[in-house]
Amino acid sequence: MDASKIHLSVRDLVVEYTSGGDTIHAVNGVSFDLEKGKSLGIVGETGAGKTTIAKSIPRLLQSPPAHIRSGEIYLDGEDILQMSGDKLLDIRRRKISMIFQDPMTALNPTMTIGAQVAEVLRLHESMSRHDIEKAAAEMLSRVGIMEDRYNEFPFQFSGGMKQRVVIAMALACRPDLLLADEPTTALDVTIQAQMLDIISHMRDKFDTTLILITHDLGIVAENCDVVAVVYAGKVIEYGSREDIFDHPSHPYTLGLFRSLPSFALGERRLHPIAGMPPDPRYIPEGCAFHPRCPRAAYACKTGHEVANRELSPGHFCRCMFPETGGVSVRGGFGGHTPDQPPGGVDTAGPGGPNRPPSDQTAAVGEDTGPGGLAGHAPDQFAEGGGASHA
Amino acid sequence: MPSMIEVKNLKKHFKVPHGVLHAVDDVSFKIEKGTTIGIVGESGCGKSTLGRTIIHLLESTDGEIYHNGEDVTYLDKKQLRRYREKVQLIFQDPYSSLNPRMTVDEIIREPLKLSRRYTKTVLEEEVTKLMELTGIEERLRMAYPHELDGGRRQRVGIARALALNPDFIVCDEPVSALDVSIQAQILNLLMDIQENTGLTLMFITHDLSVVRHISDEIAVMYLGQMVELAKTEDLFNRQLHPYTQALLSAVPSTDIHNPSQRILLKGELTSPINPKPGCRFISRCPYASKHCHDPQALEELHPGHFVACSRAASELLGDGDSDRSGHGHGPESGHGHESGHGHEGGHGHEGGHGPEGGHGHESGHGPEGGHGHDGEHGHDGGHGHRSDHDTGHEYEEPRHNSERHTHPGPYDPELDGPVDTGKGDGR
Repeated sequence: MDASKIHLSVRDLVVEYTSGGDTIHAVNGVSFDLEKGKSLGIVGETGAGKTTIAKSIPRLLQSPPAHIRSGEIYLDGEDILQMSGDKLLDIRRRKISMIFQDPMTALNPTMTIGAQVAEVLRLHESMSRHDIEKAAAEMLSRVGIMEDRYNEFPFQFSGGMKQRVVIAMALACRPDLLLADEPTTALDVTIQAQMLDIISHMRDKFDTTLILITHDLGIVAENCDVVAVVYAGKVIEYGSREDIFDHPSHPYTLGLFRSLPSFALGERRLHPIAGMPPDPRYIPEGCAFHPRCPRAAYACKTGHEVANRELSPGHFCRCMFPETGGVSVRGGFGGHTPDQPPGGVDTAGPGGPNRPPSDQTAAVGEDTGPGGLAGHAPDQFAEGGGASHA
Repeated sequence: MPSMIEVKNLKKHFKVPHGVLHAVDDVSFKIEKGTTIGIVGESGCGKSTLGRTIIHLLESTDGEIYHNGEDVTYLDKKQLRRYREKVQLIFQDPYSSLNPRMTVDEIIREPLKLSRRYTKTVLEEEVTKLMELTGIEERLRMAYPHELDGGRRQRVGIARALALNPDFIVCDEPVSALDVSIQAQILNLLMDIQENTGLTLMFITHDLSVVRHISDEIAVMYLGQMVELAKTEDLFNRQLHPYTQALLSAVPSTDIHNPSQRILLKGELTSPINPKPGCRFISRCPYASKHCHDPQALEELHPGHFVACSRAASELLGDGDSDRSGHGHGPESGHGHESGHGHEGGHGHEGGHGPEGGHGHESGHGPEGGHGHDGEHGHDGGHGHRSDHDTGHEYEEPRHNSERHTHPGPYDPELDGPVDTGKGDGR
């Protein structure tokens, strides 16, 4: 990565919440760099720390209960976490915007839509009142809300329209960095498609850097250049979209893909990840994923932190036994059929959930074509055993 | 053998301050024993109301409901009690559908107790059996719902629904609140139970990949009406209704090398209050023409593939490849109007676009643009100014949220939802 282009750099971020005497370890050492104009998708399950990471960037976390224990967040080379109040406000005004999941609660019910967008502009730019109103109306029309609705209130708008207003507000000041936290989760798919289209056009126009938080891998596939998979407050896999979707390497990433109904086309049973995400108060020692991992070996369970390995340039994975074969994850409605049964050469793979893969795995994996989870029976990702695939 | 559930012309209307809300409007279909029907559509399309009306959580306004061949449209208290043992509901939100003051054991025990079928000792065993069946650990027997995570709560909801051996369960978005890995566990559980007990399921969801996985048949609803009904693979291979095409194309694909060809719809769902008689999708439809202002009937255009779209119907009839049998209706009234315009011949060939979608992008013409048979149709969709047509209806739409799209016309990327930005799918 070209260091001069780095727009946002997060280093060893650790965030905790205190609640009733317990410490909740929400973010446990997250680092990533993002180039100007690129989009990063943060994926993971509920409680993995996705939202906390995003909210740490403009320092929107309420403290207490939240506490940024350590870390650095550089935006254009300046550490946000060290900034004074005035400077921080300035950054929030001019450089960073955030879209929240729920448009219903993000708008003020007692203000008209137009006034809310105008307020953003009034606080952030020095313009005459007339110009502000004109700019607000233009912003709204950009997201498809006509001028005649300028003086209406949020309750007169549907969910999709409210989210469009929120998007208009977020983009009104042409932020350099847009943080979108599940921006479309509350919306129907047809409206979701509209919203993502708006965001993507705005990005093209203003060269906005985007962090998109979602649990929907399809949205990431279509909108993000780089992907970070988060588990128990750590980025367990990071890489380009192609790295993650063509060569998912961490067993958790693989498990996520295998849980998708669209992945299991032609198969009756789905392959969920066994067990549950860990309680963020008591994160397992060693690799946090080991209690659910089909490959966990003794080394994964001991106290040492699993090193972040660079599998190929720019593709990082926190796993002692990453998948290194040619795995292709395809899905969706593109008429995909599993052309080969997964795990064709299974016998060479590990026999059970508690044995680490042998060295042969990699070699075997290379022979298996796309569609196959090289060298590993899918059963391993189901609840129990490592019986070989029929 | 009678179908497990059959509904005929089912309607459920709600009175609201500004008129009548047509939540379910004239819906007819059957669910065969041991199969799963998926009901998909956007929020507010009436899918939950349909499920709830069938199991008598809501009383229907009109129409008939049959369960195992028996008419269950009107039930007295005693009959309702017996019916409820046979039909059950699994809710979307296990957080609010379980009594917070009851333990897991009590929640599952309650229906068993109320049925008075079992003695106390057998009751205990039955609860244990149900917990095993749904994969709830024994240690959680005395736990309260707030101590459980979403997946386990949903298992408790499923155990409770299964308690009295129902033969039909309505699952209303049972996995929508769950993470994918947990969602997969619950879907597997439901499929296993169905395999073992021959249960019939009605699966209501907005998640198309889930519904594709679990359903034998899929019904697509739009504003209270069923617009398409087909076997799952038929529907995914070939969508005949423009709404279904747009809905399926809107689902983000995880295949980065083969992204889905998106059909962006204009606007949003219009209001189901006092709807006009014609096709309810008209204000968003890329192919809307004046025939769409006539009522649309669900017709069987291919064996087992029902569509409520006069355009799709006439296209297929023009090809001569459809067997045409009305479904629950007489011969559709929609075509009656055309004779007045005297161009049925052209109509038969209208389009020539496959229903496969994507065609709407060639804007500037009527939907028939460049087609040899279009005749007078050329101007129909072109600008769609309603007053041009002597159709006998008042078509000025009330002002809805999607106010910009009162003019049905060909899909025009410039007019599309995100106005300034909507260059179709050219990203």
